[in-house]
Amino acid sequence: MSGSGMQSLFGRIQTKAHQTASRMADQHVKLAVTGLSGAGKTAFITSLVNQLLEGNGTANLPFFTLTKEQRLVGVRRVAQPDVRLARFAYEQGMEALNAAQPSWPVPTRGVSQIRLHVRYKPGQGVSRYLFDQSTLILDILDYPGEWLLDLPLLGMDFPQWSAFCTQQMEEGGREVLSQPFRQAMKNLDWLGQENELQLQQLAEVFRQYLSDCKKHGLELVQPGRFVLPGELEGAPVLQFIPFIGEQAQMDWQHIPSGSNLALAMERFEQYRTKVVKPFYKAYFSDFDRQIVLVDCLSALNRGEQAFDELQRAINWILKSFDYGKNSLLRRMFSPRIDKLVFAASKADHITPDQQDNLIRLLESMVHNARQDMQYRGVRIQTTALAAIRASNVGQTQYQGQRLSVLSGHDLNGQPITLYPGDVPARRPAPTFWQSQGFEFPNFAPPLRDPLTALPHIRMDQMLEFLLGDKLA
Amino acid sequence: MTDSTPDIQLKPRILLDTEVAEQPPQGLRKAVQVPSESVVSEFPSLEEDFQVSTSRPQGHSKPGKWFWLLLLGLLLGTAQLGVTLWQGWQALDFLSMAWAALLLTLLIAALLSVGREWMRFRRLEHREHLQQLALGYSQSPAIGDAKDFCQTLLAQMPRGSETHGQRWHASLEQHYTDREVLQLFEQQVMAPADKRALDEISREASASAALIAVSPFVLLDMLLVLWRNLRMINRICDCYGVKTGYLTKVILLKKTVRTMLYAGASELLAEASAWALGGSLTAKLSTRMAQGLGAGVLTTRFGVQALKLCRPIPFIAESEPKISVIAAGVLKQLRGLERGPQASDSKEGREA
Repeated sequence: MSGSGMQSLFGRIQTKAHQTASRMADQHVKLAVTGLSGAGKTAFITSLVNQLLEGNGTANLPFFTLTKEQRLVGVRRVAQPDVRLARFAYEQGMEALNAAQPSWPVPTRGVSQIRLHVRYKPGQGVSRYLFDQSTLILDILDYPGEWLLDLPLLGMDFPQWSAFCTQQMEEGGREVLSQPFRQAMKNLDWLGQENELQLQQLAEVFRQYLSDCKKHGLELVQPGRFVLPGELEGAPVLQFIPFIGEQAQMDWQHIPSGSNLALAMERFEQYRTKVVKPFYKAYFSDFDRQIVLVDCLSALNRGEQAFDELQRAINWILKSFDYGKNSLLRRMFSPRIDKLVFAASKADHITPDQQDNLIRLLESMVHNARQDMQYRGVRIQTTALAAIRASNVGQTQYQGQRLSVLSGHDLNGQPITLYPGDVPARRPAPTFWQSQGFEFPNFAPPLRDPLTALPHIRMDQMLEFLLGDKLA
Repeated sequence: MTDSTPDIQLKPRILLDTEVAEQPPQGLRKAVQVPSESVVSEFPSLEEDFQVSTSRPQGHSKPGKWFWLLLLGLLLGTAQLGVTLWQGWQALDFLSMAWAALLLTLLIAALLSVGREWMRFRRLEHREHLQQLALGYSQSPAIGDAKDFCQTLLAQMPRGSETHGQRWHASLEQHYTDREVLQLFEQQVMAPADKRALDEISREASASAALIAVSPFVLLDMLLVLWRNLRMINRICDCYGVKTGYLTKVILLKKTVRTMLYAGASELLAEASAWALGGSLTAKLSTRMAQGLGAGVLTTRFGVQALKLCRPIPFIAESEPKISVIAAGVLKQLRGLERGPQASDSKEGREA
C-alpha cells in the first residue's frame, strides 16, 4: 500500500517538475505588424491566425518547417495579456470572409490584441531531449495605420512641424485641398488673446483638409489622430493647428503667454507627450520580430504624389526605428527586433511574372533604411505576399501572344479576367504618370469552403523567416 | 503596325500599341480586360510538360589519352581482324576464319562496352553541370524555367520516384519563383532519395566496421572495405539514378578520394578534434573495435562524398548529411557487437 502511495507521489513530483521545466522552456514572441492604413494589416493578421489554427489541417504551408516536419501539435487562441484593449476581431473577420458574398475584414479603428499559444514538438537542441512539447506564445497587435505616422512627431517641435506642414501644403494636389484651411487661417490673430472656440473651428477645418488628403490617397497625414481620433473624439488635445506663415518673423523664444499661438503650442506638446508617447511606450516597446506591409500597387494606382508620399512616410517611420540617433527612441524600441520582413502586400493583384518587379520596387523604396538596418545586424527579407489570395492565374492568347491573366471577382462580386499591367521595378519617371498611369484591380475575397484554410501567397515563408528559429 | 519601332526585346506586342513604347524603362504593359472563356487551364499536365523539357543541356568533358589509345587499338584490331577474315575466306582457311570471327565478336563487344562506358562517363560529367545550374536556380528570385529543369531531373531519377514527382508537381503554385520550385523539388523528391542513400551509407558503414572488427587478416580487411565501398557507391548511384559502369565507378572513386583529400581537409580537421575530444570514448574500445570504428567512419565519409557527387542538385534548404551522426550510429552498433561473445573469439583468433 505505502509502496504504491510513494510511487504515485513520486510520479506527481515528476510531472510537476516536468511542467515547470516546460514552462521555463516556453518562448515568447511579440510580432510587430507595421503598415500604413490600407496596407492590409487586419487581413494579414486574420490570415496568419487562420494559417496557424489550420496548420495541422487544410493549411498549405510547404515552406513552414514546423508543419512540414509535422511537429505542430496545435494552436489555441488564449486570453490576451492586456485586458484594457479590444479583442482582435478574428471571428468577425472570418465571418465576413466566409459569407456567401465574401467581404474583406473591417479595417481597424482602435488598438486590438491577440495572443496565440503554439504548441509544438521541439525538433532540435537540448529541449528535444528534455520535453516532448513546448509552447510558443505569440502576441500580435493590430492598430490603425494612421496612428503610426504620429511616430515621427516625437522628434519634432512645434516650429518644425509647422514648417513641415507649410511646405507640404504647397505640394501638388495638396495646394488645392488646403485652400479652405489657409483661407480660414487668415482670420486668426496668432499673438492675440487666446480664443478656444476659434481654434476649435480652425482645427475642424484642418481635420477636414487632412481627411480630404486621405481620401485622395495621400498617405502622409499628420497627426494621425485627427483623421482617426479613437477615444479622443472631441477632446481639446486634438484642437490645435500648425502655424502657417512667415516663420522668420516669429520670435519663438518669446511667445506671449495666453495667446493663440501659446495655446496651440501647448496642445501640440500635450499631444506628443500625453497621446503619442504613452501609446508607443505601451504597445510598441520590446518587439522581437517585425513585418512591414506596404501596399505599393494602390499607391501606384493613385498617382505620382501618392506614391512619393507613401515612400516618404515609410522611410520616415523606419527612421523612427533608427536606434542610433535618437536616444529617446532607443529606449522605447530596444534593439531587440532581430528579424524584419518588408512585404509588398496584395501580390495576388498582379501576375506571377511581375512579382519580381514588385519586390524590386519595394526594395528601391526602402533602400536606405534597409542598408542602415542591415548594418545594425537586423536580418532582413524583402518579399511579395498575399495574406488572402483573391485571384487565380491562367494563360490566354492575346493578339497572338501567350499572356498570363488573373481571374477573380471585383468588389461588386462580378467575375473579371484581366492582365493587370506591368509593375515597374523602380519609381516611374514623371512623364510616365501623365501618359499611362496604373490601374491595378481590386478583388473581392475568394469564394471558398469555410472549413478550409485561407488561400495565400508566401505566408508560409514569412512564418518560417519570422518564427522558424523560435519553433526549432 | 508599329512593329518597326526600335524596342526592347523583352516586351510583347501589346506594349507596342501604346504611346510610351519608345521609353524602354517605362515601357510597362497596360491593364487588359479579357473575356474569361478564352482562359485555358492553369498548368499543363505533367506529361505535356515532359514533352517540352526532355532536351538536356550538354556538358563537355575530356577523356584521358589512354581512353583514345584504347579506342584506337580496338578499332585497328577490328579492322585487322576484318582483313584476316577476308583473306581466310579467299584462302578457304576455315580454322583461321573461325578464330578471327570469334576474336572479332569479342572486339566488337569490347567496343560496345567502351562506348557505353563513355556514355555513362559523359552522364556523370553532366551531373556537375546540373549541380551548377541548380545552384543558379536556387538563387533566382524570378519565375523562369526551374520547373522544366526539375522535370529533366525527375526523368533521370530511378523508378519509385514518380509518386514523389507527382506530389511535387501537385504542390506547385503558379506564383512560385525558381528558388521556391527548386526548394520544393528538393523537399519532395530529393529528400526521400537522400534518406535512402543515407540509410545505405549507414548500413554499409556499420557492416564494414563490424567486418573489420571481426576479421582475422589485414589483407582481408582491405579487400572487405574495398568491396563494401564499391557496393555502397553502386547503391548510392541507384538512389539518384546514376547509371554506373566500370569507368564511371573508377572515376567516381577517384573524384571521391580527391574531394576527400582537398575539400575535405578542413572537415577532417574539425572531426579529428572532435574525435580527440571524445578520446575517452575510443579508449574504452578494444583495438579491434577502434579499427572497426575507423573503417566505419571512413566508409561514411566516402559515402557522403559520393552522395554529394551523385546528387543532381546541391543541398539548398535541406541540411547536409552529418558524418558524426552516422558515425554515432556505427559506434552504437559496434558496442552491441562487443558485448556479444563473437568479439572476444575473433580477437584471440587474430592474435594467434
